[in-house]
Amino acid sequence: MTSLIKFDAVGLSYHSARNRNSAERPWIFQDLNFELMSGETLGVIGRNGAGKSSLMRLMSGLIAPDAGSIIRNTDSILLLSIQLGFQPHLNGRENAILSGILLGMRRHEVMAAMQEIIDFAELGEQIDDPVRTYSTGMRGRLGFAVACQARPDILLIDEAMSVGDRDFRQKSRAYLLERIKSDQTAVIVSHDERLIATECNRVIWLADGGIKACGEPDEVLEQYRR
Amino acid sequence: MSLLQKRHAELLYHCALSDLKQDSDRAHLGFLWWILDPVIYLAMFYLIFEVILQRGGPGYVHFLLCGLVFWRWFDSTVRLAALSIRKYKGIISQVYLPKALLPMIAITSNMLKFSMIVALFTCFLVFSGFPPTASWLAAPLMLVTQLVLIIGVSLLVASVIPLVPDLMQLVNYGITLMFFLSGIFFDLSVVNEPLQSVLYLNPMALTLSCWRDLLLYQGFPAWQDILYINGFGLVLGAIGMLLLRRFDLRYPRLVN
Repeated sequence: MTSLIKFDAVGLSYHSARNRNSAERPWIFQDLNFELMSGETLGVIGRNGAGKSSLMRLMSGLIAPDAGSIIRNTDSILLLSIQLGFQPHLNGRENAILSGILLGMRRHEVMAAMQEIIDFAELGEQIDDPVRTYSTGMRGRLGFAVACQARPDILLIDEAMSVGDRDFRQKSRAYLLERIKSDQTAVIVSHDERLIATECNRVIWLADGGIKACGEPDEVLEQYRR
Repeated sequence: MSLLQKRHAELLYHCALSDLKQDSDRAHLGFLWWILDPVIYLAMFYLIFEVILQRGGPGYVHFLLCGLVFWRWFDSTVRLAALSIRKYKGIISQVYLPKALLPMIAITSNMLKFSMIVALFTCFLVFSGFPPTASWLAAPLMLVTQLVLIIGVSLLVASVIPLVPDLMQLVNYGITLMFFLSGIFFDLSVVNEPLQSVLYLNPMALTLSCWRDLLLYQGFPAWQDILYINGFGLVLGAIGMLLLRRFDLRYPRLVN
């Protein structure tokens, strides 16, 4: 197993309009050290505000740390986003292309997968209607179907992907778990302890501005529950 | 071109197309507004200056409209570009995009709209006593020159506004001031020296003057003017690009 991302003494502070120029920004977390290895599924747990989402954005390279360094051995890192860039005035097909390109695909790749996307999203002929006429569930299904086509080296999943009705939620969850079980390297942020326990190889617990625990899911989750 | 850049070119195309469709989606008359909007805008100035104030004398309408058409391309693009990073804040907080791409989307969609206006204006010139002359051959060069200026200013304002949002007000006032000082309503060449030379330091004043020479008075633009406008655009654009790269990973946090 090779290291895909390495965090070395990484710190991140709050930026807001008020403390824009201040050197005295409060830290979200400091001195984070860990590695993400290829093929593993890493779980990230912690209370609200512990910095889980910020950690994902750092991993994906969207933002830069305020201290320490992050070494990435791949550029193909995707924070799974549903309905990314969706425009209500465009039809389903056009949105699939736009969203697909934003998620790292080429136009011809999205076009080649279009029928699969339409089938997965269960949209049929409505794919040619403007997305503003879609229900929330339909938009979510299309967004998920497009996001499924992305094939990044590292997949970052923030919270449970729950879109559509119960059947579609089961279908999408099953699809994601299937992906994770393959050799896909993934990081999952979730409050769903059962998901973390069954699907992750390793878990990081973020709390009090740092890593409170890191290791086997069962051990970390037990400490977390106390 | 690397794979990454090809994907971004595709993104640029689709986002610009989406912008255009959004414009036409907003109102019942749809795409017609691309034409109606500038026509009403130009008609308004015609009404005020030619009919009500009866200013200028012969040829003033053409002088005025020529200035307004090319001013409007600059004005509307720069204003859109200034807000471009904020406009895409939802996207840049979820996926990485080179930030220079965002003002380029505004520039591209506006360029497509502007080409429609230029086509209309050309028809107006031809049918109102200004047929094409040899100097019109320099039009492509002038289009590229003004585009370089627009890209330069757009990249600079797009890079700076998220860093210092208060500057947006200054940019708005700055553009309004330029509107009055670029010789849209009056001929800068009748202004006394040394004020005239100072006013011509404004690259838009020079640009509009070149366009009028070229389209109305059969004059080819001077090389030093072309070089000055391009140089101005390139320098501002280079500063903008430097800032966009320097703060590439800061912008998602600054605008969210």
